[in-house]
Amino acid sequence: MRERSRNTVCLGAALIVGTVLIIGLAGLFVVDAGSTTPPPAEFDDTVPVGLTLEDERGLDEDVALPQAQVFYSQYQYVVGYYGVETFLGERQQAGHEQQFGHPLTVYVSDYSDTGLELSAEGYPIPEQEPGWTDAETAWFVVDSDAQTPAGDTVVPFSEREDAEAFAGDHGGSVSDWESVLEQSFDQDDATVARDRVDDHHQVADDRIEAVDSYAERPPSIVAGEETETIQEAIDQAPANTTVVVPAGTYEETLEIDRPITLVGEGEVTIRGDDNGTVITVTGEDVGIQNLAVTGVGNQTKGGEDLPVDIDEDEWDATFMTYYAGTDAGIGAYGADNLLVNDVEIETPASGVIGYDSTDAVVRNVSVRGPEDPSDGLAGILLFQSSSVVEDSAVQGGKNGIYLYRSSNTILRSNEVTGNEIGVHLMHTSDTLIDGNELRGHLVSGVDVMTGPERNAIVENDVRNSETGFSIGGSETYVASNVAADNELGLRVETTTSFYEGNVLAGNVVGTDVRAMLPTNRVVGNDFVENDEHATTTSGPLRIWSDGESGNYWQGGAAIAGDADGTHADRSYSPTDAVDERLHRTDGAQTLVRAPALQALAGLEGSVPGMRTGSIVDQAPTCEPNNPELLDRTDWAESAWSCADTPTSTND
Amino acid sequence: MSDENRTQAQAQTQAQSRETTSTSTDSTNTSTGTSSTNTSTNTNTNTNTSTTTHPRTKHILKTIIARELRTVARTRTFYVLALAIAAVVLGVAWTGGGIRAGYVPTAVDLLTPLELLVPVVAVAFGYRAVLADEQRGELDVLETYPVSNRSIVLGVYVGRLIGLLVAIVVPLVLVAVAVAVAEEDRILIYASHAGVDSPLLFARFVVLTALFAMTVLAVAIAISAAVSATRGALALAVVALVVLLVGLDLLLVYGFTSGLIGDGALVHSLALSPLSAFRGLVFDTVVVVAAGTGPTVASPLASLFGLVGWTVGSLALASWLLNR
Repeated sequence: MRERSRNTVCLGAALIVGTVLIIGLAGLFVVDAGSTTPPPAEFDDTVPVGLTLEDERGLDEDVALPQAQVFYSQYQYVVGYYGVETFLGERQQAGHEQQFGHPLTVYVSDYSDTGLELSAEGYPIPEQEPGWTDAETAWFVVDSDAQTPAGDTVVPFSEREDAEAFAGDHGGSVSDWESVLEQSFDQDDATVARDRVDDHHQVADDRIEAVDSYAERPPSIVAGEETETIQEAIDQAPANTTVVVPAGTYEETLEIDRPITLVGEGEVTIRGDDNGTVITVTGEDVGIQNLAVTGVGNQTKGGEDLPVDIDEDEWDATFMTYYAGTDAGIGAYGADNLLVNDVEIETPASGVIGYDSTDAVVRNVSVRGPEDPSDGLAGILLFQSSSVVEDSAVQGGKNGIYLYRSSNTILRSNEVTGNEIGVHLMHTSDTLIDGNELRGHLVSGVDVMTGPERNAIVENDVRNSETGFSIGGSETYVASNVAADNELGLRVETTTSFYEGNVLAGNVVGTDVRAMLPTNRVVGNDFVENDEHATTTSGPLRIWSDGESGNYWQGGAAIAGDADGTHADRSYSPTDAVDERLHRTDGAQTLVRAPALQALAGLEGSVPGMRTGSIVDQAPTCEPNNPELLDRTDWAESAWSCADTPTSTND
Repeated sequence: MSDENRTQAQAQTQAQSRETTSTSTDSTNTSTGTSSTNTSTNTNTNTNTSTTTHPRTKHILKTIIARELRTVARTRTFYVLALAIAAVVLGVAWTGGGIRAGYVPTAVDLLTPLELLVPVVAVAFGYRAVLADEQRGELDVLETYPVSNRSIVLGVYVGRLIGLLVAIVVPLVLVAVAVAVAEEDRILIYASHAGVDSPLLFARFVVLTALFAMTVLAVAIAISAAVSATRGALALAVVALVVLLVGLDLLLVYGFTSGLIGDGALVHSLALSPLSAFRGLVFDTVVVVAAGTGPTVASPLASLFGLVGWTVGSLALASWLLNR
């Protein structure tokens, strides 16, 4: 009996333990894995999206733009969006959820009780810094007068009355989160830059056409014959006439403040006094043609004032004066519609400096800077000047062509050689860089800094440089470029940008990805004969294919193709320890087919946001996508297709 | 080989001479039991149907489980097997980069390898479990006690299962610890958070893997009960593995493409294959939680029933086979 009761106790205990165990295990499946709500982060600590550095710096202190910060289910960094609509637009982009997972928590700026007003531009100016509120319970004013530098913005409030009061004052309608999520917010992507390439060429043609007539201006004075100096001729010439300079060398510095054309006849050299700028232009509609300029001063920084009035309140007024006020062969200040054509400049500082000279045209200009690329400033240096630079050549000096806040500029068919940076963009958006040839740059061929938007960089060719292309910013279109024989072909720092049809061949590293956000589209590019095709140090897994569109990776083109023979039958990860050596090491093709690795590769692309520092192409192509571009390099022979048995590439 | 057989035979003789439920060495290799110990099974009509929990029956059940555990503990091959699993699991987690990335990526990396590995290991653990008893005559001994065949099957199953679960769960827990320790340092300049990546999801994965192991072990026990010779057991085990690993899924594919399984039924039909049921459950409860919305990947209830059904069915089949 006693044994029986002991048994009953045992049985009972076992039952209880078993039940608890089963409930516990089942509980694992009931608990919501994403239920913990993290506290809001400091916005400065988030990965920022939606505002260029230029716009950010240009904002007044008291402006507080609406912000959102999003905690995604499979992206380990908090993403900070300027403008709630930026987040709403981004989440509608293709592949967004695949890369980031779903938003677990969204915080938005809370303008309740902040005494919110709008500035003249419509920027929100609260009396107190807005806090954060959970988007789920917030109220949003849509289509009001409120703006960010990017356009219309949604203004969030934690209290409904505050939202309604704001809508009463500034227009718009009040919505809750659910209905805001359902509205569509247009988000620019790189298609804007892509589709505008032709338009940009048209803009350039129009600008050139506008200054074409300068050559037809009637000659009024022949310098040196009718006057003693060229400067006298310039000062006497009536507007819209041509000052002719006969062949010879003239030792003087010039200042042009009127709409005339200065034309050399035969070999004309203007020699400055090795002190300051040789030709200073301060008027509109000036043409300078067929001259050589030399004897430029050697000041490359520390400019103190400019020949024109500047807005001292601009956030970068000091910076611009510091550089724009330095020595150049031709210095143009407030010289809209300037034409510099067929001019040769030899300079220890800069060749052409343009400041606030809209629609300037620089054509067939050749600048020879200092041999040492760490000397000098720039071959062509443009500040706040939307211009055209074409068919020009720059050799030597720190920068080849340097654009500073010169949006809507077109750089095409230039040859830039032997600088630290060939083409250098600072705070410059909406610009086209097309068909330039860049060689031997100490730092980089094309360098886009400070997070601008919607630039297009197409059909350029960079060789023998430390870095071919270093591209920052967002919504940027990078296509049909060649980067060959560089230490690094392409550095990707952009977000929401397209990289299409580029050839990266014979570089030590083909592409290095630095961008934290995996929102670039990288397809149709060719990676041939790089020691490493692609590397990445941080951020999540990037998927560099889109459905059937992938890239060509020498080595990724496997032993077997798919049924059509257009794609390799396995995905390729240039950051994988075995895959990255497929094109370098004999036998790696066999190793990679091991069932163990195949089993691993099967689900490689899932939960990309949770993986670290890697790239995968799920549709690598069998043949190079851009054979003509590849033929221009020395490495076309190295590109094998799927059917070929890969041979050692060292011969 | 012959040495090993002799040792085994000696051990068996000793075991029989003691006439108790004794420990025995078991081997997962292909050595055939000596014919001297292979007494034919007398299908004694077992009067005790054990409908009530008789203490003695329970005691015997406990004894059988304990004996199985001792068998597992004393068999070196099982250790080798367990070490092999551990090595593969840790190796896969490391090679795939999951350990540095987080719990969910690790689970995803391990999913396919475990789908293949767990059935192989489970069959290795179980395909001779009942057969060996029979070959040594221990079944006859057991049957002199008032214990049902169901209890024998259950006892053998539970005993082996404990061993198998230790071999599978321990390496997975080690992997989880490795993830916790090795998870890559985040870039400090940005605010970071774990997202939904949590040990909880990995725990789900471990539980599901254990459930999967339970299922395939039950299949292995059924194989063991179905044959009377080691060679036959091995052959049948291989056939069963092929059916499990490839056949059932191919059958699903055939059914799906030929239209036998309608579009609406596929998600439920997946439960018919233990592999697909397991995969579906992992997708549904671990991966999709992180990845977001999309088409439904599995019917969790159907899959769960599928796994439990295979387990119960196999064990029932095993006891029925012993009753023959």
